[in-house]
Amino acid sequence: MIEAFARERAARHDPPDGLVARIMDDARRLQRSPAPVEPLWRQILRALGGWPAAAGLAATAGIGLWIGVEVPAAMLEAGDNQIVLIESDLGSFDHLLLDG
Amino acid sequence: MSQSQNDPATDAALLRAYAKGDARAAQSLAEAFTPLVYAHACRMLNDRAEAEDIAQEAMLRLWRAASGWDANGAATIRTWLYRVTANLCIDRLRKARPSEMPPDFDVADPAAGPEQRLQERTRRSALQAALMRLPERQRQAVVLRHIDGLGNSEIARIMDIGPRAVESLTARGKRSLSKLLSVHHSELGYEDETQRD
Repeated sequence: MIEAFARERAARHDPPDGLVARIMDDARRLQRSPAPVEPLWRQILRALGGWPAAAGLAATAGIGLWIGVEVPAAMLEAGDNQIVLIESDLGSFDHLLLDG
Repeated sequence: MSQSQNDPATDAALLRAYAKGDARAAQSLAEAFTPLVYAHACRMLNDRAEAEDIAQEAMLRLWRAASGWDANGAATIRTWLYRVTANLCIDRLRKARPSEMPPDFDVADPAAGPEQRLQERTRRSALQAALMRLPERQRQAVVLRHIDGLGNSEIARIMDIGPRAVESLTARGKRSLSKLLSVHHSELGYEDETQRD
């Protein structure tokens, strides 16, 4: 077996004429074709860490907005917090919750 | 067998250079790796025309992988190409019946005399025919270990199995080859070499 393997190892399987040239044609063709431009929304999504991170961020933002617009009564009455009313044009945002 | 003369880091640097637009880097890689890929496909398929297609496809996949190469972890280009080539060959073998040895599959030393050439051709044809009778994974392991001369750890990475599984495959493949060749060893001009190892 050793001799048979050695003989096969020593044998040359030279690529046929033109194969490297065709491979280089492929290489140049792929270099010429411009890489697809990633849309802005996808770039932002990737920067945020992908879909799971973006979904978490959206949920948090939604809850924050809801709390800002419709302050839950329980939050207003919680603990020793002190409610200070500030006059503004922002309606519900007049409620400022301060640690007491 | 022809192999890349560069170290893996240089090969990876060339691939990165290609991804940035350097066509000369691609030329270096094509010249280094095409012989390796083509020879491996020849041995796996026993068909030069098919091997040519496989080599072109494997290298095409390398060019496509160039821009994201660093995401491939620790894989060297050589290991990666062996894996892609072997997978393409196995796909091809499963789709089509293996062809017979083409009559032009003579790569014997042209400087040898006619009798020597005939004997060498016959011996190599017998080995190739015996290889083609092995199960695909055994053939792949035997070719990588005993003909391409790779170490077990690299073969394990190429075949995505453990080193012990590589040892088992190569040992079983070699035993089967010995049996297959021993039937013809006297007519092939072997004495007891198939029994020796």
